[in-house]
Amino acid sequence: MNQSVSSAKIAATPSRDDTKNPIDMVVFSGGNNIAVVGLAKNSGKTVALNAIIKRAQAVGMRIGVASSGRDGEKLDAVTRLPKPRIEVQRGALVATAEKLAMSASASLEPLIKTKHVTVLGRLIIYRVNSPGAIEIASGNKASVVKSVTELMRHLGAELIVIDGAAGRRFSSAPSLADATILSTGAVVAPTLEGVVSRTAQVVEILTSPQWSDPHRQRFDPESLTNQDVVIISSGAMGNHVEELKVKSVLVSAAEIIRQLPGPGSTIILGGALPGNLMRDLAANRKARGSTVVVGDATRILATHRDLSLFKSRGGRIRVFHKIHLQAITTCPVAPDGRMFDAETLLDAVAKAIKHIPVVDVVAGKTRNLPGYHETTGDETEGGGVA
Amino acid sequence: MEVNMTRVRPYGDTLDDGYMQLSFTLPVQCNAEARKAAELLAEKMGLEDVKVVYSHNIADIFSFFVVYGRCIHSVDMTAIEIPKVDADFMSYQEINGFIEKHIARRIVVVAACTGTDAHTVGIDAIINMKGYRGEYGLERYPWFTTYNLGSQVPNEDLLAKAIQVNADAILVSQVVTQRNIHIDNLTHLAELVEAEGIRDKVLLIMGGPRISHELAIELGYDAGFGPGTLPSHVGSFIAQALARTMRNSGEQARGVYP
Repeated sequence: MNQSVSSAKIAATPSRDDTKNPIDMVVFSGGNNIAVVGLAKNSGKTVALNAIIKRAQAVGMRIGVASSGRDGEKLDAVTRLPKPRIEVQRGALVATAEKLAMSASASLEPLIKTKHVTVLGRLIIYRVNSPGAIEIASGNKASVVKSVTELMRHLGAELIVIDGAAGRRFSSAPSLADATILSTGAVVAPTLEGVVSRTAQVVEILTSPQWSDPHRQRFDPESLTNQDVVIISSGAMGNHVEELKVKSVLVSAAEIIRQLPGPGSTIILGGALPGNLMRDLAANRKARGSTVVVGDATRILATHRDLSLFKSRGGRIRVFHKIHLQAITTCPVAPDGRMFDAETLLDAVAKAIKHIPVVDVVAGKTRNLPGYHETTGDETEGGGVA
Repeated sequence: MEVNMTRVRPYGDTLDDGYMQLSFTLPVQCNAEARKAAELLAEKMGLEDVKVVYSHNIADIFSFFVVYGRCIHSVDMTAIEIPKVDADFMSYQEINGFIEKHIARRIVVVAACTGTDAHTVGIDAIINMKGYRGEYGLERYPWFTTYNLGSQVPNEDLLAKAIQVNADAILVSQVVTQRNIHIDNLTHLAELVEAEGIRDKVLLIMGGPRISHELAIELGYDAGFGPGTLPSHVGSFIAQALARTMRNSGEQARGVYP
């Protein structure tokens, strides 16, 4: 069985038809910071990252590269399997730790020493003086990633790509990234159906719609902390706004529900949206038809199942800042040697998520591009929703 | 004996002879063909002069092998760079003295085995009073206040407790790692802490037999402790990291929560 799997390599015929390339859509989107996040480790983030870097550098864009995890290392920290390297051209900016810079094959010139010290040494913004491979780790906290991307921006980076860490998605927060690419692949689940449904679930959460209530103007989401909970209810006397100070929604879910005047309320959370709150709201009559609003979709840490339960009781999830998910990449290979047919996976994901372009970077195949109706070999309608 | 650190090879009988022994199971009946298969497999793995020194059937369709052979590979140890937990390991007395001097209050630690994991042996060794291998656990340290929440704790509950008691550090133990379930679990906790906006206010630490500091850093934790870790290792790291944070922020770390 293994024999046939390993010989079934993908026919890599990169089609460089630029008008049909989601990578181009990302590079030329006008967005400054692009986050590449994944459903898991080994889901193809680095391959997507490299495709963006390559394309942007080919058209002479000054790029900046950051990683919220660690990237470009030779071997995976868990599987010990070889990983793709990150290649940069002259003029690119990279934010990485001192010790990793020493092992780069590219020649790097330090520009700014940041105040952030990681276990791999101080974070430094380098300029690439001769092309080569680099290893990147730019801090694993949102606050640090934000600060290094801002520094690269000051140094003239036109397009900054932020690689995600394993399955962490915090770097796709609109406070860090203008646009996001999501990588999924065979590693996510043992079956094709599993990969597709888990991907669709994550996409549903990541693309949670914007809160467009007139009350929106009253709040500055940046000033809300995990201690802030606001309940808006409409009654005979008009809207009532109740601002609560809690320890955290994780601690005070019961208290928040007690404060709900009745069905149809809006609950604004300054911190995370955890699964237990979803379950508690779903179980409470007073919470029927309520809307929960969070800063952005990276705050939603409830499982899809808990969210569905809440939604089935008329609940709605809204965000202050919407994540712009510009493309999904598929990787048919898992590190344990399992492999799906590249096009079958691509088609299945594209069919399940019709509104977002899907690309297999290695095979050079794309689906769901706006304005195109592709023949995918089955009965799908192309799914080209602009 | 002078070892060439750029070409380290297994030591069998003499330096650099490359001889090594390995054992494995094949899902076949134990017979001459199976022994040949074991030999060929070892050759494919880079062994020369392969001898199957032991073979035995361990069920109808399984055989166990011990194979001896000369490994043709070597490793350059001078090129290995492994991120290590950044701390000077101190003794029980030294840690308590350090905290008294540099932090001047008790350090609060919340610990749990999270997710479906019910194996508390690791976290108990680090936290519980009786400790491990002749060392006291952090619970016994006068300058630590610890909460061991036990096993199968949801990430939400762990973080809720940490917020309630103003924890300085969260310790997560993961022993069950089938299908890398620990990675999903650890990722979820890190995302939750970040989403709550308190990542800069708490040390996130993971531990377990398949945990490395490298993995911890990749997943956005402050430290990862693998097999052989003693309570004083974890205690040293927490005390020093907290002292550093307090120095950098120029304020008491206490009171970061409401």
